[in-house]
Amino acid sequence: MSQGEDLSRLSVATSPHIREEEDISAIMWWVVAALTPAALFGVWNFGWYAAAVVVVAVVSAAVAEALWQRICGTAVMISDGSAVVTGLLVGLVLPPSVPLYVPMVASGVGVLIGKQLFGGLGCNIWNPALVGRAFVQIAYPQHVTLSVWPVLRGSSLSRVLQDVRHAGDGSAAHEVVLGATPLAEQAVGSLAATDGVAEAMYPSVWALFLGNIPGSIGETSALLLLIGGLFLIWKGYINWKVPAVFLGTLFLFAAFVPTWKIPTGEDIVAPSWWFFGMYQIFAGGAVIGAFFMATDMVTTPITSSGQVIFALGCALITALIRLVGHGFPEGVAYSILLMNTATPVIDRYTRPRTYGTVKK
Amino acid sequence: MRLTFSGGVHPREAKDATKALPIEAFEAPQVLVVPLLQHIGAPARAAVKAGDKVAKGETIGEPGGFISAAVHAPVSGTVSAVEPRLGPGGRKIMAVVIENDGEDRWADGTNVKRDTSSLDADTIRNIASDAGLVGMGGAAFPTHVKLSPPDNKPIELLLVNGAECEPFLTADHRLMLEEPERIAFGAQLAARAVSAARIIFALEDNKPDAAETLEKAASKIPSATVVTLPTRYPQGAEKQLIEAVTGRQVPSGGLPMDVGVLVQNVGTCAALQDACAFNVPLIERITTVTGPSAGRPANLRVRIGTLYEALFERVGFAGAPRRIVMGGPMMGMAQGSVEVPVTKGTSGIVLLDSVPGDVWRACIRCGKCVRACPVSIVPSQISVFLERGYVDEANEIDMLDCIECGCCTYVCPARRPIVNWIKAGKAELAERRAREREGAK
Ligand code: SF4
Ligand code: SF4
Repeated sequence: MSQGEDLSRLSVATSPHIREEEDISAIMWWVVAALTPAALFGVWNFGWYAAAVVVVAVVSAAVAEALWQRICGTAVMISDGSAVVTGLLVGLVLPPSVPLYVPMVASGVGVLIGKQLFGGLGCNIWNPALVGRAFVQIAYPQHVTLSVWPVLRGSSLSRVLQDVRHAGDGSAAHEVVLGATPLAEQAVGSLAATDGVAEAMYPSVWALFLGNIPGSIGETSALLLLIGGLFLIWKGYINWKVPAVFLGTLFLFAAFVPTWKIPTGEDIVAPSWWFFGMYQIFAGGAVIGAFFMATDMVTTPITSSGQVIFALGCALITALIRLVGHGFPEGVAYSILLMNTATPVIDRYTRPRTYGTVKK
Repeated sequence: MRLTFSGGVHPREAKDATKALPIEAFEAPQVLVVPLLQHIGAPARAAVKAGDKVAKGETIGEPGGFISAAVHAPVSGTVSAVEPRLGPGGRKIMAVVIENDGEDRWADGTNVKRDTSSLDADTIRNIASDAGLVGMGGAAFPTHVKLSPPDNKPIELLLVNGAECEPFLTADHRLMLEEPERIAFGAQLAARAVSAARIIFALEDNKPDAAETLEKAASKIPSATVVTLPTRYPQGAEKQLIEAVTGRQVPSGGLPMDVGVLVQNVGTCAALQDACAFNVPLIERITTVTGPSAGRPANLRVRIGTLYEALFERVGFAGAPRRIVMGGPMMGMAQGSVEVPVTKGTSGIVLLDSVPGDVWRACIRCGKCVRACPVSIVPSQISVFLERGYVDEANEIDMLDCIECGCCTYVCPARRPIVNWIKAGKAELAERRAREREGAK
């Protein structure tokens, strides 16, 4: 050849011959970036110990993944960021007061049992972070649900209402209110007007939105989670319909279903529907769940319509758990895990109509 | 209403290197290798033998059946061999090797003006067949076959495809810009051949200058309009173009004529006018030689049978190319050699300086392939089946509707070679069916 270029080693393969740049690790690290503001806020809100919890969770997840891959003799894929995402989510959904072995166990279980046992990233059925979280919830309930101050943290509404009735007696009012999470406090607060408990005892919707309230480390600041979530929507990683349907349904359910009558049939002074709806959305894990877990690529449906069904299911199950589930915390985590189980079925029934065919 | 199709991707267009460069004539080389199979269908049968003198435009290959195409001498000279030579598909195929005498002497009766006003549909079809016309967008399906729809499939609309949606390629763009009259004229003949009442010229909005020139050419045809579509790959795929322009979907397993449409590439239309108005067969085409490893990218008017190495001598290299692709980077064919000839379907030659890796991972169900797939199948699920060898399961979820556009593979962050698996899966199904037919006999 006149140009003297070496043409003897032309690479031959089938088309396409170009690829979009974005790979798995790009996606994962952007998710990490999107969670970072909420994580930093958690540290600011709860103190350095919260940072230790998150760091332990992340490091444990990464170490668990590396060990597993080393033992199995497969390529170590820590740099793809997927274990870091799992660890970060585990840390963010734990209360800031847990002993440090709790995030360690949660991340380890999440990565090993939640993900690697199924064959690794892409093959798992359940959200690994939630598997880890659910495990420690059962293994160490005293730390996860009843830690230092969120006494009623994640209690179902009926529990809340029972406690509130105590509060109404006047006897236990002080403790309960001190230990109450926003979900409980809303009810207390509504009673406050009649019972003379200080109004300052429950946060405003605004405080809930900003996040300087009790809760798990990374779930309190709706604002920062929203910013991270919108960023992921803009990147095209998550479908805006999922958080919209999840939170919207939860709001409507909370605002308009007369929940305060359900456990006992007794009338308790109701907060306004607006407050009730907003509290249900912002006071617990709903925002982080709706933006960062119900949107997990691997464990949720692949088509937009399937994702909407998924989100709707999550919202209804969450509402149900919060309404009637005695002793069950929160509801968001379990609703997502339950819907994860339904994902293959949803996928099957929401397959798009192939070009040029009539919908079967 | 925004005219569009569903799915698709928007790769970096990379057309800047050549879109402003006028078409240059590339002088016919000393030796040309003209394959007898440059189209979809049966190979042509050699009509000459070693030692024969041939004139430019003379038939050197007769169609090997109805779905086949004639082949003509691109230069005058002497046949030095009729033998298997490397084709763009990577296999050796029968080819006529011609020693160019440099005289460019036309065969009798070719390159003479003919009055087209009285040509009827049958005559136009016959001319297309005699001239060896095939679809020049890349698929290379024999044109006379497309111009012969059965009576029960009336064609209402001729869609002239100037989308050129593949990155890098600008051959059609330049043709539309420089020779719109040829296209418009040929389109009218094609419309006449199938009694289409309307003609629509369709192109993407990244070629506004070409839209303007086409508009001017089309304004002289009462039944013709030009539509500009938002730039997106694979706009130029027949079924997607039809959906974008008409909103109709060709039934699964069907053909455009099932929805009353005939699609012809702009280059094919221009070639049809040459054949009808001048009795010039298809012996040259415009091809874009470009890419990051091309030294001086160009749009060249090249004789069929010109070897790539001759073109590269002119264009030069900018570093050693890692891959040489015939056609665009999304659907083109990688070549293992530079001794491959330009054929009727060579819309471009792209020299790439890097190639995708071949390490892939499990599907993370990100859904990007699902959103990108223009035929709305679920590539991820199909790929998971095919990865395990479950061809029947993949078939059940419409694997065969895949148009092999490569969008899924292009976007996949797990780098899964989805479309490669699908091609293999389709081949296996076809083979199995052939075996079953054998067994039934
Ligand atoms: S499955 Fe086929 S039609 Fe769909 S994007 Fe992939 S290659 Fe294109
Ligand atoms: S683009 Fe790749 S990783 Fe994403 S769903 Fe499709 S096959 Fe899976």
